[in-house]
Amino acid sequence: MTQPRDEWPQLDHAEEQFVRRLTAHYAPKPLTPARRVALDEALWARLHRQPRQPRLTPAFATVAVALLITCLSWSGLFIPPAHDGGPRISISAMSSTEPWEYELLYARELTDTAERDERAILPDDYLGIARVFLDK
Amino acid sequence: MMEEALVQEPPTVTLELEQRFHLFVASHRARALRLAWRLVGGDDAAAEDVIQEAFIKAYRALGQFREEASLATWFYQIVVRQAHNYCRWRTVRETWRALWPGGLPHAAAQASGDPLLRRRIAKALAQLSGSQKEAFVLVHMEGFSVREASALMEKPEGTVKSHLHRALQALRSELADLAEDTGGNAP
Repeated sequence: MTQPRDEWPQLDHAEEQFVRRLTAHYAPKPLTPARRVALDEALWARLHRQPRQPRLTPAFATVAVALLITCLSWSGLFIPPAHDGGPRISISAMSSTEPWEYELLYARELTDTAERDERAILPDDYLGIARVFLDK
Repeated sequence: MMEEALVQEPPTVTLELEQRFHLFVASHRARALRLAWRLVGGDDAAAEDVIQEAFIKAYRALGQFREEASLATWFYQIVVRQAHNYCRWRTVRETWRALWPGGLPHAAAQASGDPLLRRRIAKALAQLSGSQKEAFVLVHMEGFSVREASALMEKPEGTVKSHLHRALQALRSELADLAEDTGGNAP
């Protein structure tokens, strides 16, 4: 590990003595052959006990989220957001509407066009009826 | 013939790796254990646990390192990191022990020298910051160069030098009697 350009800090004599004393007093007992064998056996036992497993965390996370959503859906706590692309029929607008006016309202909501454009999308007979009954 | 060679290849590679690993363990076991022991505050069981974990990681990464030197640097980096993590968890455990009388037992240390002095040194080292302790143990006690310690601690060399200076000042102040004692009563 040591390279020729590496350096060690310069210590004066007193510091060097202090460090040497500290190092000598603060050291574990040397490894006996019996303890070395026991250490190696424990290491090999751990190595064989922990076979290399593929990292399954992302898969587990996906499955957990899926299960959570399923459980919440079943319990009614989670309602997926409604599809926003299609036309919406306003129920409040229809509450006071007679059944025969439905066709006109429905056509307007579906196409999201203004009233003046009804002429473009409705046949002439419908427009005639609308003029009579809706004062248009 | 070709099929036989293909069948034979994996066990040969594994055997080679295992032999290399045996040699690696034999050449680094003692130093790693001593380093870990000093970093975790003189706890034999913790030091053994730290180096076992580091050896397991080294075994798994053995194929990625062609040079022994780079594997050794990487291995000692893991030892330092594992010891650091152990010390952090020990702080949590000791807090818990203080709240829960008769909780976890203190680990018994098998060490050479005067046990009282050893405890004082361990206490003085524990009062340093984690980086100061690591720098001091690596350079002054284990003989790594500043450059090597810098690589193992993943810190710039200037920072390591600064940690070394402060650690030495703090230890000399804390263990003033040891600093003045010139009798050389080391075991």
